[in-house]
Amino acid sequence: MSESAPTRGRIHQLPPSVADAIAAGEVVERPASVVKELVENALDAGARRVTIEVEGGGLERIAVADDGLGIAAEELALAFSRHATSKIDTVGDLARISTLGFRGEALASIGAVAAVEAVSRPAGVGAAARVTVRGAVVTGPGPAPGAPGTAVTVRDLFGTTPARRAFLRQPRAEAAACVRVAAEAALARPDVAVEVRSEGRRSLTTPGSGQLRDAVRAVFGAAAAQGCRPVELEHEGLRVTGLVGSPAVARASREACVLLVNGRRVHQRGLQVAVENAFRGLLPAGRYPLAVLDVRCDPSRVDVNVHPTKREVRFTDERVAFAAVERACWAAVRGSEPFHLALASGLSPGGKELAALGPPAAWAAAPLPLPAPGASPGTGPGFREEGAAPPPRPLGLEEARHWRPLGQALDQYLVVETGSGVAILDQHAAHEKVLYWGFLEGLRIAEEAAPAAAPAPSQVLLMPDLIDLPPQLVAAFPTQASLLAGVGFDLELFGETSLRCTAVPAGLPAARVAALVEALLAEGLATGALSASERHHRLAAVLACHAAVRFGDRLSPEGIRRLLDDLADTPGGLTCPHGRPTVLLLGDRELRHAFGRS
Amino acid sequence: MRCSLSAHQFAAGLGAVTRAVSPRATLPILSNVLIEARDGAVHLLATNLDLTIRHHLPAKIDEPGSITLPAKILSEFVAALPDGTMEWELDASSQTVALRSGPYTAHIRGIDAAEFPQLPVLQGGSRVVLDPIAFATATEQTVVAASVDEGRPLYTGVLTEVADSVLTMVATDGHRLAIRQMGVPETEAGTRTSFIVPARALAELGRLLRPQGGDGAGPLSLKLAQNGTHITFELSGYEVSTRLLEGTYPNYSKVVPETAQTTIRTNTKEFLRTARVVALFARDAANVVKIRSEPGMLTLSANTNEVGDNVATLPATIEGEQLAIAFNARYLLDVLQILQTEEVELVCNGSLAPGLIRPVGDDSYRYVIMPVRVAL
Ligand SMILES: Nc1ncnc2c1ncn2[C@@H]1O[C@H](COP(=O)(O)OP(=O)(O)OP(=O)(O)O)[C@@H](O)[C@H]1O
Ligand SMILES: [Mg+2]
Repeated sequence: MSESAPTRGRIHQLPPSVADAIAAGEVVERPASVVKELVENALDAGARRVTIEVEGGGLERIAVADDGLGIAAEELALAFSRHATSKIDTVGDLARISTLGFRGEALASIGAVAAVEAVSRPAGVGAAARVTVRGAVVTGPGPAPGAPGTAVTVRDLFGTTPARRAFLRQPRAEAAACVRVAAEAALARPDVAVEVRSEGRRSLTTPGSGQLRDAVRAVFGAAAAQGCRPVELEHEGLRVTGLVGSPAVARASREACVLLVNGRRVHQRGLQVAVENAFRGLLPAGRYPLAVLDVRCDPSRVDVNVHPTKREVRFTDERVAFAAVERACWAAVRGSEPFHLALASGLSPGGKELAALGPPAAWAAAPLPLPAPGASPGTGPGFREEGAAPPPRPLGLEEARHWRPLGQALDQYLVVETGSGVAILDQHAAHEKVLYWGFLEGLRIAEEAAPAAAPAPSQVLLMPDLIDLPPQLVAAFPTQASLLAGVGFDLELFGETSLRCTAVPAGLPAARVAALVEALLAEGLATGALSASERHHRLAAVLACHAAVRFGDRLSPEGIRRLLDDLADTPGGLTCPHGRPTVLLLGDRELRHAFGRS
Repeated sequence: MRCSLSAHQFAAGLGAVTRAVSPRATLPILSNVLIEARDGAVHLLATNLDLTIRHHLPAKIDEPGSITLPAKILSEFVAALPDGTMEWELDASSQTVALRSGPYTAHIRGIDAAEFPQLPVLQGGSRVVLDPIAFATATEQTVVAASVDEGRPLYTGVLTEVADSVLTMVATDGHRLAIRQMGVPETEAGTRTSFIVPARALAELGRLLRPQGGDGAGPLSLKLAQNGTHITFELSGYEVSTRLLEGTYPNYSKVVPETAQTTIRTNTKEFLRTARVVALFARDAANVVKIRSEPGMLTLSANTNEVGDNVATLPATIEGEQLAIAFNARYLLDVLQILQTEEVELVCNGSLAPGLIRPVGDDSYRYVIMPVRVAL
């Protein structure tokens, strides 16, 4: 967390007045808690390299070794007593915490539920010292061999409290949780080399290069690292930095969203939602963003002393943090690279099946430029900036403006020559996204202005349209009426099973009005359960879906040109509102390879 | 089958007939043209089952017969030939036609004519005779208002009514409506009929009528089949048949405005040019152009968040109340493009009532355009 040179005072027992002010509770819930506490101690001690070993799901053995400041022999035993810390002195310090630890609780808690051995040798001291702890009883210190730094080994976790063991999952799951915690620490501190061994096998090694992308590559793989875009935004004194994965590298679970507040890993539901909001309309259901983000602010604006395991923090103004994260992610992701159509590496004997198209496996992230070598690291807090060279394409599809349409295939796809290959567009998805964005803007503007000030443009109908609906939808109409009016419908009840429509949102083909009204009513958008932005999203998505050209409609050459231009203007145009790709790229390189050209 | 005919005539006829061939035919044989040699003529037929085009042209028949040939390669080949006599010879065993014209010889493999779908032959029914060019114009002026969206099938058709020696054509997509009337020089007395023709078929017919009619071709006769499900248009050697749309056409008579709070008169071409320039800035889905009357002129404007805005004026004579109204630019451009008179009139009754566009000095055409409600 602190990248400034580590220095520290002596370990001392906090007076009861301070100790009582610290959020109390269980510190060691499972093996991963031990890993977290030990790694955090290593990072607080200024380690450049941390090694973590996990055996028997962490119950048999957890060992964390660092090359940090070390603990003086005479303080070693004290470190294991409760409320003993070198990191704060007074209650006032709690408001300006800049270390991960501050409670003086972790080692004591671990010592109470396991057999612990700690060997430490402070820098500049000739020899190491060792203590052992079992059942909170400390033995030592005595001399021991050891390199500069600290090595803590925890054995037989919960060995004397079998009831606690009963709550744990399978050792394999516990080991995975340990590795995950270590990986998150490695992502939080790309300047520290982290090595993790689980059950004797190496499961993670980060280079400690200081480049977040390197750490992401080690944790999530090369494709993910390539598909990430840098995040950097300041909002009302908060600074959000990090990397966010383009939609092509989204994950099947929320675990790949690693959120840090002032360098501390937090599981803050609100911030998680902010990240997902930024991806709204970019990811299909069941896919979640990959992100490593650090929210930096003055320590006084965030209280870390609210949860016994520090899982959550409390912002003085959570909405500001939420907005900062959402904006930062959106700014980064709106320009994401379009999807690449992956050609299967081997051709089938018939040479026919070039690609096994099973989404989303067949979509791959577009390669991003690698950071320029020798780039000077940024100086500010948060993640260091990568090479100064800006990405060659500032916005994802902006260059679609310069693409040359070749035509329409099967009345479903647009085939286009790009600067460096061929692009295939799903005409419905592409048009849908263009319209979605337009509707969304309209809804936002309407909401910001006084509701009646700028109603959505509304096409008056030549003859009233009677829309027959199932009775339950007609019954739902009164609660939804104002919402529908807001997007441009003039509707009124007409008997028990129909609505009379005299105006529709402008730009909507007349023939689809009935289906659209039915879809909107069925969506049940007027329920108070939805946030305004979620409601806008859904509303715009339904409108766009019905107004867009269909898969199967013939388009004129001018229509194709215009769609390309409009898509280029549409932020996040690479996916439809439901998160499926609008464009697949097939690069010259891939084609040459597939055709067996060198 | 063995015959000879003029390469040029054949190419022209084939070009017209193949307009009925769908590029994505549901049956492979529908990508072919049926060619029959009999009774001193070669008969061509292409169909997509909804629309059928037939043509016959004089030929010297040595041996009658029939075959179907792929429309695309056949068209390309004959279109490339210099004019001259073209000889046909079918080798029935291989279903291959040898085509010879001067130094060129081609062999094209076909499919047995017996496999071509049987099409209903229309008999009897009422007959109406029309002037081809006038009908082509009327078609063009109405088809423009029809819907291309299959969601409401009736709106993809053109209501065509004959009553008291007047033919009335009406099309709407629910947002605008075009009405065109024309006199019918020859009808059997008391003919009264009404049917809905797919706009797409009429558009194809219009294309066919232009060059043909220009050559001083005979009048167009419109033949309605007895069972009421199909209609056939006949014109000097061509026959276009289409399925009719079934249903009750909406009652449109009430939407044509009869009052005139504001009447604006301006030059058609200038109105079109101004609207076109302004519409460049009406790029979102709503595609809105605003029109405001000022003394002696009209102001047109459009704006989109992403693009910016655009204002233009044009001279106009304005009678009645001041007007501010908005339309979908597409609907405005569509009608201005097809008007042939020098001046055009826009009649309005406030910003939310239907607008009426009509060519000055021509009472046969009216185009009703529904406004878009916006902050004006
Ligand atoms: N790996 C280490 N290297 C150097 N000093 C350490 C290390 N681990 C622990 N210490 C020292 O031991 C003290 C107690 O550690 P412990 O983890 O129990 O408490 P803490 O880190 O101060 O607070 P918290 O309970 O919030 O973690 C620390 O304050 C620190 O001075
Ligand atoms: Mg600690």
